[in-house]
Amino acid sequence: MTTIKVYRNLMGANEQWAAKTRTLLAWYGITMLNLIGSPGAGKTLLLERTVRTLAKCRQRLRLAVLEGDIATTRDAERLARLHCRVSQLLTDGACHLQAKMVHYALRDLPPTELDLVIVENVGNLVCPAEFDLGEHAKVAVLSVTEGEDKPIKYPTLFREAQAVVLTKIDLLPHLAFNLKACLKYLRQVNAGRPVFLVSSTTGEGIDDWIKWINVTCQLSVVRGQTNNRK
Amino acid sequence: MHELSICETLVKAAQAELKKLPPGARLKTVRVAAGKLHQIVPENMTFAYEALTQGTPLAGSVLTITPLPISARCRACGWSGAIQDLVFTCGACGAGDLEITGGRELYLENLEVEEDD
Repeated sequence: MTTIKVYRNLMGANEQWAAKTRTLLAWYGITMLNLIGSPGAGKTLLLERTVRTLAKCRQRLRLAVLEGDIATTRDAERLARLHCRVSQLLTDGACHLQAKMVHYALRDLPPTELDLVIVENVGNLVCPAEFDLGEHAKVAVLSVTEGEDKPIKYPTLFREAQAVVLTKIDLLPHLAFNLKACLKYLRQVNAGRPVFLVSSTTGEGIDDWIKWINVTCQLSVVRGQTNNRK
Repeated sequence: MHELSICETLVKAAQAELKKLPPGARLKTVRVAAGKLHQIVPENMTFAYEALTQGTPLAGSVLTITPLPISARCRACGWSGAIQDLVFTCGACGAGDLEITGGRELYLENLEVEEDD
């Protein structure tokens, strides 16, 4: 029996595409966010509220959305109604978006005249966290109806996330959700990350989330992760 | 089932390595090292491996997965150590500002091959 040492990175191909995306984003001066959460966490409603609120902001970020789904174009249609530039990415069964798919979609948008791209990943708390898309930040979206223990049950996503949006907080009075415990679990896996308590229905808490998006866009320009060629 | 996508890459990598060997070499074991931050379920991975290698020169080889621990370095006090029970706080000062130094690895480590004498 012979042992042949290999040491080949199994995420290498995805990482190469993610690196190409980072180059493309830097070239066009775009910041990219990757929203990850379970099906029904309220990702699309949060996006709708985000698109409408950003349109009213002084900064006027030029936004496009890449909608990842297994099937149907329903989410993209919802955003298109808000006159948002949107592309639907259908994975045809796959449980996550991969960097190559996102890179092609970005290239085809086309990426000119944009400041911000938000990717809505396939609804899933596990697999999307594994795949770098070349984004500036992963954002974990967790709804209060899912239970407070999700951060420690799905630690990879909450560890990798640069921010957490806790949605549906208007439902808190009707639920046994332990907010204090949830925030403790979030600190346990990833202390120091901002947590936004929002209701996309009532608009509560949306302003802080929008501020964070604006600051993240400015920071990526300052850090040279994107060009400031506007 | 992200294991399926990862396994596709693994099978391609193992096939490429096997091609470099003299004819008659039989692949017995494929060893993968997976950091614990990767949430690789070994059963899902071996199931995907068996399904993807059926009818190929890799068929019948066994996939083994070595889990690698999560480790971190504290940005506040410089402590380095293992992360236990997914509590991402410093083992010395309790701070939460940690740099992950291990647990994100995912690579094909080695192949065990039987060759004709």
